[in-house]
Order: sequence, then structure tokens, then C-alpha cells
Amino acid sequence: MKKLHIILTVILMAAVPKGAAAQFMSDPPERQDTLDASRITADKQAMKHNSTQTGLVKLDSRRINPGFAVFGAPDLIKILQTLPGVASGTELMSGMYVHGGDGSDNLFLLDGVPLYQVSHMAGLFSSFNTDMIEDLDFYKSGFPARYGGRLSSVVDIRTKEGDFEKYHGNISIGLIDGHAQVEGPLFKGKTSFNVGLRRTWADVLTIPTIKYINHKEAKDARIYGYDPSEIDGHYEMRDFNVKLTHRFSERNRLTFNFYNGRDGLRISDSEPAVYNRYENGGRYIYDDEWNIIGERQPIETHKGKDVIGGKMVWGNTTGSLNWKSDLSGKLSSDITLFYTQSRSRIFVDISNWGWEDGDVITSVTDENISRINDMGLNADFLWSPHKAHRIRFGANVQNHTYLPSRTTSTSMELNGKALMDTSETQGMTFSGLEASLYIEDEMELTDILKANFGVRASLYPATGKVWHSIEPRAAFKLQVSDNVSVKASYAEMSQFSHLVACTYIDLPTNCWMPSTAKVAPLKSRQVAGGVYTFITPELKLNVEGWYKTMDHLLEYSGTNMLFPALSSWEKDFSEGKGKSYGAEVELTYDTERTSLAAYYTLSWSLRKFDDFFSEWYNDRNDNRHKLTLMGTYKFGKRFEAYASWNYHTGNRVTFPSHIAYDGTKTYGQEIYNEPYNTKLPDYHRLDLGLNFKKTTKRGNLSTWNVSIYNAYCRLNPIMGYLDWDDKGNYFGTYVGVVPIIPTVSYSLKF
Amino acid sequence: MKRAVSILIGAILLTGCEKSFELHPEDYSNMIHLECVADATKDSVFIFPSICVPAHTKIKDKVILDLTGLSIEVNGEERKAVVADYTEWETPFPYVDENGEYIIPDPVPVVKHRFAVPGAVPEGASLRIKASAKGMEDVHGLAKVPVKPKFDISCTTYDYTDYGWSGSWTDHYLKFKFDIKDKENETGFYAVQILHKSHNYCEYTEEAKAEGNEDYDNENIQGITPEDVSESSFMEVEENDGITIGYDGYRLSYYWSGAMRLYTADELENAFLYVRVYPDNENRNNPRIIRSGSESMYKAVIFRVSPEIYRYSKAYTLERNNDLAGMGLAPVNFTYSNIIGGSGYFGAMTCAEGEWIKNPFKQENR
Repeated sequence: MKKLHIILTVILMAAVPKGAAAQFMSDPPERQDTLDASRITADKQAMKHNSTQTGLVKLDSRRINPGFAVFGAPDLIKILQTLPGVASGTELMSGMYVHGGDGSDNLFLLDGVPLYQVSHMAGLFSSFNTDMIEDLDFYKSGFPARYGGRLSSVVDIRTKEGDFEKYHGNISIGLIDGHAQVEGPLFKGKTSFNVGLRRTWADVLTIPTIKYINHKEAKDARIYGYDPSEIDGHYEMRDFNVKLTHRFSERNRLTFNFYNGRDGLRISDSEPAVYNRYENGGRYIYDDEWNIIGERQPIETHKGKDVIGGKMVWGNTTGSLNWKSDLSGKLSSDITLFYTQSRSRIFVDISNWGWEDGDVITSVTDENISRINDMGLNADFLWSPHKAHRIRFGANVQNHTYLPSRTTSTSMELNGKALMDTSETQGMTFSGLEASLYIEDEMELTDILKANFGVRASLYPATGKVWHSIEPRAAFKLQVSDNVSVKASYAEMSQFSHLVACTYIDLPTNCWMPSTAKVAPLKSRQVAGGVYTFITPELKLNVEGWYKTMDHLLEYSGTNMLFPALSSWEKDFSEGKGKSYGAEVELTYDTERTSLAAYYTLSWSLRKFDDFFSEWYNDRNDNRHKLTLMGTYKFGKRFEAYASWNYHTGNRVTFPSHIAYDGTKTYGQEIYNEPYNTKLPDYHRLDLGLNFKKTTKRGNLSTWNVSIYNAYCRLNPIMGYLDWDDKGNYFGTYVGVVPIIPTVSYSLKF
Repeated sequence: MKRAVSILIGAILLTGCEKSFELHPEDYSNMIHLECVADATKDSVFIFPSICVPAHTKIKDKVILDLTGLSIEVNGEERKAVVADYTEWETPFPYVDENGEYIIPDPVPVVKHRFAVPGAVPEGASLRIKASAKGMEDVHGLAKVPVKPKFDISCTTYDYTDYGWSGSWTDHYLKFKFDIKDKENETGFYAVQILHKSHNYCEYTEEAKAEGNEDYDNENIQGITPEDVSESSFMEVEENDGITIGYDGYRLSYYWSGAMRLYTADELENAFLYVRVYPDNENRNNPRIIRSGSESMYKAVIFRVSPEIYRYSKAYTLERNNDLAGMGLAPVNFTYSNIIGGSGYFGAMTCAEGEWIKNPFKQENR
């Protein structure tokens, strides 16, 4: 087990989040959806109050890639986790619990295509190669009608078009991974490409580690006279992005996007097994009263191996063809044909060796596969019939195919000859066409009052029931003065896909399942509003609040399982409600050399599942307070420093509140007064970073990055349990796994 | 699957550092815990009161529940509870002695405090339980007595062959199927118990009788234990749902004197209940005995239970079978309660019994 400790430590060391240093640019100019995609270069005052949108954060590549990052590359989800209104859940995982959401209700769009698995390596890396990202919009409330299908947030990511005139790129090497990006013209001025590749070399690094562990085990075995066990392990992660763009004219552009991400983990542990045969069938010699009085020597000894091994493979593949066209000066279209696939396969093989007049090997395998294939078409139009109206309308159809399956096999062989081979498979296929229509109008009602009204209608035919949803959306903005605006919004959202998971661990042990006749679509309603101010041109203060309700949430209510039971998943999950409310404060100060930011969230996140508890109770991610303080300072052209401190109230766990004693007052039955009744210790962490920049002789920019994650080595809890001592006194215990992690990386732009 | 879960938990614990943290016992206080079942079939209500102390405080050696009132209202008519204690053997909490040795004490007889309220508990009656104790908040709870269920029960046989190193063997099962006939009286929840009646007999020859041997013929009725209600994988394929309730520390099962399975109405209608049975023996290898052996019979008892019983039992079962939830890594451990001011449950039930079915599996020894 000590080996396992070392392996997992290596894996965890290799997977520290990246990009904690990103800064955020709230409400920059609205993205242009016409072909002329140049950025508005208005001053900050004008930028601030342009849109009616609440709960929106915009990030562009300049802000996502500031250079400070643990292991060399920023991580998009870890960046979003630091934002107000977003709970991060367990440390290092890719959890994103937006405004009390359950983590599976965030819509990630990569060039307009939904992505189901957004993390690599059990949630330690996100699936997005930031070298490829042009910009993104992150919506937490006030969702425009053009977005739908998830309850809690929308992350709309656009990748960069390749340069139409010249070739350039970026190479970066970190301790455990590297990434490269190259772009340039295929046909100058007409067609461009942009290709990005990421890969870990954790697999290469673990080879000597595992060899060392096995060597040490063999050495110890020789010294102490036992048969050594042997371990093997391998993890690799890679992703690949391609973007090809062709300009037919100034008004027409065709883009092909491809993304493939894959994770592979293989691990095994083989233990020597020895079978001894004794005379008279027993090792020990007993007297008449069954006391051991001696030990027999074996008359035969045979050696074999017990092996436990597992493989996990998971990932996404997406492809899309997008045609943008400026149909007239007032009407433009954006048509996307797409395919997205999410898949995971987990294979566990447990082989036991035995001896019964020959070598007997029994093997039990368990294979779990979850796959979802979507094929669809988005047709979006922007019509500006009048300077006071920008009307968007469109339709989306996508065919979902859910393909979960589980196979359990048992085999037995004697001296290499099969004695038994059984296999049971439970496979299911759900297929359904989800269709949506929407229309929204961003309108200027007066000089100081703007509004956005919209509605989205969705339809999903499940077996035995057709679910539909009408979702009104509304937003208002009142420009109180040049520096102050007030906004309010209302949005309803629905979700027809459910991520069913038996655990909170971010492993691909879950399945996407559709709404069925018994499982209703998720539904949310959210109001939000706030005041947005510029105290000075450099100092910005935004205060926003929200109230959100959620219906038909699912929570696992079964026994110890890693995988949901396919045949009974509808009954193994209880249905309940959720609500969340709170306030967010965003204070930022930006100058040419200094950038400071403080984000504070005061929030409540509650659940009500009648199967669990008759009243409302705190959700496990009910972090009452969350505070992020960040700062960067440029000491000149070559040297930058960064610091970030993150704090939030501890996550919640359920501990027994009482013990019901009967008679003896010794053993008792544990009683839980309500779910998530105990708060784990608070979370806090300091990250530091330094960037050293240099221009090479060839004129390329090279950057050395030194970062320290968790600088004061706070072991933050990832889980907790109630323990008791020898006298039966109870106390809380928590487990923390992530220590201080210093890293270094090198990148070169050419 | 369970091994994989254990490995996962082990891995996290091994790679992590553990630290203790302060809990807040002041948030909780002592309270009354009641487990109470009203049985319309037996015209009685059994109540198991106990004391609930905050979990994360030191064990209270002298904690005593000093009840000052315990009664049931049946359709508004109050009835006092009477003491109906019984004794069980229990092993006290292990401890480390002064020499540092870990000691598991010997079992000791323990009086279990139980109360009963005799008298008719009619179907459809509204019930209310009230309890008060010194130093604790008064508690109460409500329940409604279900109507006696009407069922069709069918029973067939099933053989399952398993393989091992030494060869194969076949287990025999009775396969029960239930069909609810009065859905208009649905509470939504049922419990099924299988009773086993064994009958051992021996008839000696006259010669043997002359030597003092006596014929015997005895009978024993008991509930089937959980070990006999097999949980092997093929049952999952058959979608044999429900919750098995065992004996250990669970007062419901004391009341029922045997394992039972709890179902929702949907589950019960789609479920097959498999009960492993052993062939009846008939011995013909002793010249001094004319005939000897055993005969066994099985009977299904179906309880229509109020929702409180199902919910409490389900929560109890899940809590004992989800280690990940206990660590905050999986959805939640919880205790169902409909006792206002305290904890526990107050439920009611009525039962219908099927016919005794003869064991169809025989084995003759010559």
C-alpha cells in the first residue's frame, strides 16, 4: 500500500491546477457577430454599460494567458472557479457549482458545440487548451434566449482563427506536460489553419518511479524473505484542436472545427499467492480440545499470482462546420452543423490464482461504458432593422443518442483450459430529438433604458412522454449616470439530459441519461440584478444579487456503488428541489503596471429532497463566504510578479448528530438530524508566481515561469468523517491531500 | 464493485493527511427516540423508546431515559402504554485496558425496554403517539393504519448452478410473485416476510422402542434470515428490488422475528422473491428406524405498511451500506424521522398471509 501512496502522490503532484493567475474583464465590448469581428476600441466608460446582461464575465486570450501558471499552462475551469458566485467543490477537481447548481448543469460550448466532459485526469486538468482560445463568455444569470439546455451557467468558448498572412505559434514545456500551437495561412489571405496539441508525459515520468518501487520491493523481499508484489501504472492525457477557416468573400466565411481529447489510465497490482498442500489436509495439529499443538510441513507448494487491474479511457470528440454570412447590411446568419461524442470506458479485472490438482485462474471482469452521441444543427440569425433593435432568432435541433452498458464476466481455467466462461451485459439505448426555437430583441427603449426580451421553446420526446418547455427571458438596464448603471434580469432554463453519478468523485464513473416518462427535465428560474459602477476610470465596483430555484434535481439514494445500476437508475435517484440566493461584489483596479482584484460572494445554497429530509437543508457546497484576492505587478518589461489568495467557508458533510442508545448505553444507532449538518474547516490557499521574459536573438519571446501553489502548505479538507477513540468519544476528522507545490515552466512564442 | 470502492477509499486515505477538527456539541441536546409499529392484525402497538445523545460528546455512562408519559391516541381515544420488556445478550463496547490491551468484553444479558399498548387498532384508524421524559422536549408523531392487503401469490421453483474449483453445485429456490388486488387501498409500500415451518419426525421399530427410544414429531416456525434470501447477481438481472432488513440492532426486525423485504408498490409488482431452500431429507439407512427425516413448508406474509416504515427502513439500510457517503464522497446519509421534537418513526401496518407451500425439493438417503 505504501507503493500506492507514492503513485497517487506522484499523480496528484502532477496535476495541480493551472492558471490561477488569470484576471477578468467584466463587460468588455460586445462580441461582433457579423463578419467584421474587430473589437470595439471605445474607452472603458463606454464598455462598461453597453449591455443589459447580468452575471456575465468575458475573458479573452490576453486575460486567460497572463503567463503565471502552475506547470506552465493556465486552466480555464480553475480560472472560472475563482469567480464570484461559483463554488469549486473539492480541491483540484473541475467542479463548477454556479449559483447553487449541482455541477452537471453547466453548458460548455466549444465553437457552438456542446462538450460533455470538460476535464482530464479526474478533474485535475480542464479539457480546454488555452493556446487555442480566442475568448469566452461566461453567463451565470440573465441567460439570453439563444442559450438553453442547462440550468446554471453557459460557457461559450470560441477558438482562434489562424493568421491569414503569416505563420507563428507557441511552444511550452512544463514539468509534466507540454503544449504547442501553430497557425498560419494555407492560402494567403483566403484560408488559414490553427492547430493545437497538448500532452502529458506523466506516463514517461512514472516509468522510473514504478521501476524504483518494484526494485525496492524486490530488494526488501530478498532481505526479509517473502515474495515481492509488483505494480504497474500508466496515465496519459492528450487533446488536439484544429480550426480551418476559409474566407469566400468579405461577407461569407466557412470554418471547420475539430476537437479530440482522450485520457487513459491503466493500473495493476499483482500479489504473489502461494498454495501449500499438507498431509491430512491441515497445517496445524490440534489436541482433543482443539488447541494448536504443532504445525505440519507442506508436502507440496505451488506459486501463482493474484492480480487486480483496471483501465479507464474517456474523452470527447467534436466536429463542426460553421458558415457565417452577412446576408445584407442588416441581416447576418450563423449556421453550424455539428457532431459531439462523449465516451468513457472503465474496465476492472480481478484475477485470483488457486491450486486444486492444477493451476486454476478465476477472473472476474467488470466493464462499464457510457457514451452519448449528439448530431445537430444550429441556425442563428441577427437582424438589425432599426438602430434601437437588435433581434436574434434561430433554431436548434439535435439528436441525442445515449448508450450506456455494463458487462460482467466470469471465467475460470484449469491448466490453461477453460472451465467456465459466463458474461452478462446490460445495455441500453435511448434516442431522442431535442428541438428549440428562440427569439430575443435587445432594444433601446429610451436614452437611458435598455431591455432585452426573449423566449425560448424546447421540446424533447421521451419514451412514453413528450416534454416541452417555454422559457421567458427578460433583462433591463437603467443608465443612472455616465459611471453608474442598474440592471435586472429574469431567466427560466430547462435541461433534458441528466448526469447520474453514485459518487462526487470526478471520475468517469457516471452516465448521461435522458429525461424519461418517470424522470422530469430539470427546471430553473432565476432573478438577478445589480449596480455597476466606475468609481474612477481604473477602479470598478460591481454589486450583484440573485435568487434562483431549481426543480426535479436528482440525487443518488442507493448503496455503495461506483457505477449507477442501469436497469434501475430511475428509482435509485431521488428527486428534489434546490434554491440559491446571495450577493457578489467585484472590485477591480487596473493600471498599466498594476492589476488588483477582489471578489466576494455571500451565498446560500439549499436543497429539499423529501426522501432524505422533510425540510430545506444546506447543500454540500453551501459556502457562505467566498473571497478571492489577486494582484499582479510588472516591474518592467522583463519581470512580473503575481499573488492570489483564495478563501471560502468549508464544504459540508453529513455526520451523525445523535446516538440512540438502548439498554446497555454501549452500542447505539447513529442518528442524522439532517443532511449536510457539519461544516468542514474553511478553505484557504495562497499562490505565488514570477515571470521572467526575454527576447531571443531571433526576436522570439521566451518566458520562464516559477510558481508556487499553496505557498503556506495549508492542507485543505477534501472529505471528512466522524471518528471515535478507544473510549468511544466522537470527534471530526478531515483528510487533506494537496501540499505546497512549486513548479517551473518555459514557453517560447515564435 | 465493493472492492473497487474500498481501494478508492484506501487510496484517498493513504495519500492524504488526517487532522481532527472541532465539532459543536452545543448544537444538539438529548432527545427522545421512538420506534413504534401499530399492527392492526395483532391488535397491538409496540413501542421501543430510547435516548438520543449528541454523537460527538463523551459516552454517557449514566444516561437513562426517564419517561414520564407514553400513550397512543386511536381515533382520539387515549390509551396508556404498559411495560413489555425482554432480555437479549449483547457484547459491550470494546476498550483498551490499563496494560494497553484491546479488550472485547463477553456478552452480557441486557433488558430491552419495550412498551405495548393492547387493544384493537382498526384499519383506517388515525393514530397519534405522545411521549415525555425528564429533561427533554416532549415528542409526538402521527400515523394511519392501512387497510389489509388483498393478494394473489404464485410460487414456482428455480435452480441455479454455480461453479467452483471443486466442480459445480446447484442451489434450489422458491420463486414468489405477488399481484396486488386492491390498489384502491394503496399506501404505496409493502413488506414481505417468508416464514419457514420445519417438521422433524422419527418412527422407530418396535425393537428399538422396546429399548427405550420414542417416536418424535416436532414443529418449528421461524422467519427466513437474510442469508437465505440470496443476493446473488442473477437476482439483480431479474430486477428483484426491495430492501432486506436483517436482525442486527434493528427493532423492526425484533418485532417481526425474521428478515423481511420492503418494497414500493411498483417494485413489488415487478419483483420476484427468491428464497433458497434445502431439500427435505428422508433417511432410510437405519434398520432400527422405520422412517425419519424432515418436512418443511414456506409461507409468504405480506404487510401493507405506512410510508414511515418504508422510509425509515430504507434510510437505515442505505446508511449502513454507503461508506463513501459517510465520508462526504457520495450523496447523503440520512435518518428518516416523523417524530416531532425527537427522532425515530411511528408507523402502522396490516398483513395478509398466503398458504403454506410444501417444499418441492426432496432428497432420500439410503
